[in-house]
Amino acid sequence: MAQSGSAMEVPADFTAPEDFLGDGRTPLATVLSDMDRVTRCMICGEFYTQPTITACSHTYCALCIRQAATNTGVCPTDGKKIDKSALRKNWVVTEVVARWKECRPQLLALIERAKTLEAKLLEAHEPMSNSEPAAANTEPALPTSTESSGRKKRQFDQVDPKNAAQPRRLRSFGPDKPSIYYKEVNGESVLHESDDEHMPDVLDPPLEDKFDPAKATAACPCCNERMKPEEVFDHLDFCEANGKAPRPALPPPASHAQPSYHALSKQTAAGSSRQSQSSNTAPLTAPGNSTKRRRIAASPPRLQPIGQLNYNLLTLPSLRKKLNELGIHSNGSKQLLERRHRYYVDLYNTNVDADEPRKPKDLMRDMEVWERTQGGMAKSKPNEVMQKDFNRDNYSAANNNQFKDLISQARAKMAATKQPKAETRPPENIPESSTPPGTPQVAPGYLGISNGTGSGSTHVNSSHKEQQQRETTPAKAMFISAVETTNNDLYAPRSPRAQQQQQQQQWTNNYPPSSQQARSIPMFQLPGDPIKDFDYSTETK
Amino acid sequence: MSRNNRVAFKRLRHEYEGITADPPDGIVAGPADEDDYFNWIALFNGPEGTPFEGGVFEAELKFPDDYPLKPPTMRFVHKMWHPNVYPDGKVCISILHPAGDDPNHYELASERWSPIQSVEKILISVMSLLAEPNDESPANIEAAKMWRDHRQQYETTVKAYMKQALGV
Repeated sequence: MAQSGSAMEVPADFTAPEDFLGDGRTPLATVLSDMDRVTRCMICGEFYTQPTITACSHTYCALCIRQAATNTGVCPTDGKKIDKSALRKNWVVTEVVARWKECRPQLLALIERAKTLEAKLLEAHEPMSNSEPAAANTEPALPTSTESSGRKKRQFDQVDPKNAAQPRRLRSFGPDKPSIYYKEVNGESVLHESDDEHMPDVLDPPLEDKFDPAKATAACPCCNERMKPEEVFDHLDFCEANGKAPRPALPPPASHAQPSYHALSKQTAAGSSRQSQSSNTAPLTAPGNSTKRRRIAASPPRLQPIGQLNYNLLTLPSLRKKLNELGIHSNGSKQLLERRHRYYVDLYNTNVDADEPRKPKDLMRDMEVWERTQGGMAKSKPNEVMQKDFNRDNYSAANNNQFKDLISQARAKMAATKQPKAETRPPENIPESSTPPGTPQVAPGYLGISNGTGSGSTHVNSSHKEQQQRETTPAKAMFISAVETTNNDLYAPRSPRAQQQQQQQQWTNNYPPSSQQARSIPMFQLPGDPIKDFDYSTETK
Repeated sequence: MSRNNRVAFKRLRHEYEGITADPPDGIVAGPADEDDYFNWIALFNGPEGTPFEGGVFEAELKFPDDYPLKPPTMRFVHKMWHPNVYPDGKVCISILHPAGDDPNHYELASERWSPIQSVEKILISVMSLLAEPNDESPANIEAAKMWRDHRQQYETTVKAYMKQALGV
């Protein structure tokens, strides 16, 4: 649930489709806003990350749809059943989102520029007296923060107005990350920063032709064009016999990581044409071929997705073992283990499909966050009693019936257990105070079940502790013995076998067979006697 | 303190942006506190042509940490006399019920919560619920009976509750 007072500031790269709406709702603004909206996942509201298409042709982020499918098993849009193994990457959407993210800040800046220009024109025309008509041709005024209002202001507060006039430099606001595609090609990001002295057209795509020669270090042996050393081999594939084939505008960036949709098709087309002519140019293409082979061999082995488990068929220990094998925490109840496993499987399988898989360390960090927010360490419910404005009277009045029910139930149970009163004598070697902190103590007298049983003598005197323990109610004895069994199991040195058996018997006598406890009988119990190498048959008989 | 789920936070932030930029008729909604996006306040105008006309209704929405996988809960902060509102103000409407389980087996899967629903859709649904109660699954049985059998009395009761809520 929500944590009041945990302020969470809006991330700096937060963008919304409404950024385009600004002050006026022109048709263009509406269309752009809609365009922005369709590049976003319907579940998380962010730009698609790893867009994934379902069998019913809806696209979501990979993780979003996996989690939604885990949660309900159906597509959020049309309610059709989702088979996770039928989820596929949506390449086209990947491309569209990458391009859109790239041009979005520039578009916003253009709109802003147009607006200021318009304002200036109006200003110039309104007096109609002395304004020079050349105002339209002059450089548009820099947008000042006063005239950009509301949402727009938030965007432009973050940017130096000087840069806002130069759309090439707009990487300083909006989503700061370059798209996946361009992040790989280091030369491209250099390009963005190096060429803003000659301000090109804003929507000019960053073609490789503008590659800065100063940064390049290697020359193509055929055409002598300079480029980054690692691109030479790729270039050679297309540059055959001094550029018979035209160089593609966007060469495939490091094809082992993510061949983009179009680049891939171009590459294969070019590759096949090259193969047909390869007899002529065998010495030239040979190095290219060998690197290709090497690169394929060096690419990391494809991760295998984790399969789903049928949790109903698994016992707690075997489920725990599975979790240990995956390297995630294995503590908690079975239900928690199931939820944790489900979450991890979604996270992991999403990562398997990713073009740039994250490191296991990052996944573990996500698991920790999950643990804190929704897993074992999360508060299951906001504790009303702990809140500042807790109204005691209202609470007791509202729950009065339940309290009464509980009391009557407890009384009935007490009366029932009074007759067969089992000798619930817990071993006295462990004092009462050894209950681990945080264990709910059964307070004597609470709900009226502790007092007035047995002989009725409830001495709190420490000298009578033994007696008191013997005479407490079955409920309490049960609790104490439960704690002690666990404690013995964990901390105490091996006690004699007889005592252990007695304890175990106590436990099974007292504890309801249908207990919800995770571990009703200690999982591992070593016999007190030294272990002999018995045949099983003789031991059991 | 980044205890809150970031996905849920961003999603709620988007919804807030959307509902502010393009508010549905007669509905205002937003986080009660800008620091806590997981608790919202929503204000409704009573739909016209119903006994709720002329009233202003305040409800609070609480979002779980795994929103939008799980639906929020909605409560009117004042007393409401309506067949589908529990006496404690909790709203019983199919869009707020998680998609997986349908204890009553009368709701279509498409009517229930799914991660692509939004606060805006919830509020619009609740507004139309005010106009057209669903007496198949009443939360307030007395109100449902009165709505079905004694419509006149129902309307006066609604008005009385409304006046009490508005303090007039």
